[in-house]
Amino acid sequence: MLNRPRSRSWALFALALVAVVFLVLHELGQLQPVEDLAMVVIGPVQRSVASLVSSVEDTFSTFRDARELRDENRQLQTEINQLRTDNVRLKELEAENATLRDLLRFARSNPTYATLSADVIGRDPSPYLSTLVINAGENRGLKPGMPVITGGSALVGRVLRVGLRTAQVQLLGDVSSAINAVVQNSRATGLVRGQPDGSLVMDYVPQEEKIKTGDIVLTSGLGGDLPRALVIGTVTKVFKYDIEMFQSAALQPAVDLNRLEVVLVITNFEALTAPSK
Amino acid sequence: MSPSPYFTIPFLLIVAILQSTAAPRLAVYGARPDLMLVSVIVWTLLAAFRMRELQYTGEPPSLWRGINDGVVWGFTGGMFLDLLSGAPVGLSALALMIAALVVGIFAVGIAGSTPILVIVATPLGTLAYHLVFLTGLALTGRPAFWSVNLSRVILPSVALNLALIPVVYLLLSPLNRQTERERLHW
Repeated sequence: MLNRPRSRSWALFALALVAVVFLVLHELGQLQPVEDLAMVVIGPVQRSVASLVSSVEDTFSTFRDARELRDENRQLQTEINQLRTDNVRLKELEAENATLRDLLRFARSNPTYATLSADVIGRDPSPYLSTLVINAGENRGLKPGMPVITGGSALVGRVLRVGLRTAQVQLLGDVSSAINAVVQNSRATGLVRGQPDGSLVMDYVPQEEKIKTGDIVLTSGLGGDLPRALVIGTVTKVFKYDIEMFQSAALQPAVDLNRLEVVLVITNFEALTAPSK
Repeated sequence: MSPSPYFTIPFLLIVAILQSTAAPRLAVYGARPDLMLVSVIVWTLLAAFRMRELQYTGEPPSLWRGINDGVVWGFTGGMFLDLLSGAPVGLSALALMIAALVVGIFAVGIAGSTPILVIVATPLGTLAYHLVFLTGLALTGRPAFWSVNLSRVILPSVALNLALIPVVYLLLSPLNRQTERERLHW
């Protein structure tokens, strides 16, 4: 019993000695053949085990990567959504900016007009009437009859009814709308009226006047209720019959009256008046 | 007795706003979905059908009560529409009330299955509404363009309303039952 620890010590000493001998032999290069032989046996096993370990690691790595990718994907998706929202907002702002720039250009080029801008917030619920609701009313000094325009000096219509904070605008295409007009080239005068389908017709043009497709029709300013030279539309077809007293023309409105978003109300302008005696 | 104003007024106001904002964008040629008209027709039909059912119970209510519900909706919804429209104030209300009256009398007076009554009542109500509205416009000095509007607006509206009515019927049916339950509790 007492000898056992001593023999174990000797065994340990012997093993340490072997290790030292191997170390010395290795340093002397005497162990190389043994090492080579061992590697021939161990090498493939090592490679297989390494490959297996690598596969296992890859598998875990794939899970980890997938989780990371999922997180990254979620984050990117959020960013894309944000960017899309920003993009839509910017496009809206760009469109609004273009509209406002047009309106500003009109206001600058017509300094004698007092104008105010308003957003279109609704349309007439009835299919028989062409009116708009804008977000300006008595609070901003609107009165019935004031002309309403949009970019490029295009006439939209006239204020029909005024509320405290909103107003109804009768569009050119309304069947009750009638505007004194003049053809830009020939100076032929007539009356532009709305039709049930929202289109425009210029009536009461004397037979001897020359009008043709493509002519631009403007407000004549006659009557004093509208400024002169606001664009109404372009002649698309002329109806001239010898048996009738007047000729008429179909017009294409200068703006799409169904797609208005911002308008300019002319609150004051110098009207054509009869010369005083 | 009329339906609860806490439900009727906000609901019809929302319908009127939708009619003024969304419906013009859904226009097919000249015709647009008449959201308010369809709502009034459906509510009148639901009320009329309910009154007909109650006729078979112990203490039958007046048949006119069902029609009355629709007329009240027509008046309220019409006034909201008139506020948003360039038409003479009261014209939409009058046209919708008459449409509700026509639909109500038809639904109460004619026996038949619900789908058939709905299919027949919708064109009747639509025609009544548009005829009264156009007559009102003509009487207040606006050109009515009867034949153009018949082909461009009225007939397409009948088709659009027929397509719309099942959806509105399904939406309003539970609301109508709920309103009636609340009314009975009162």
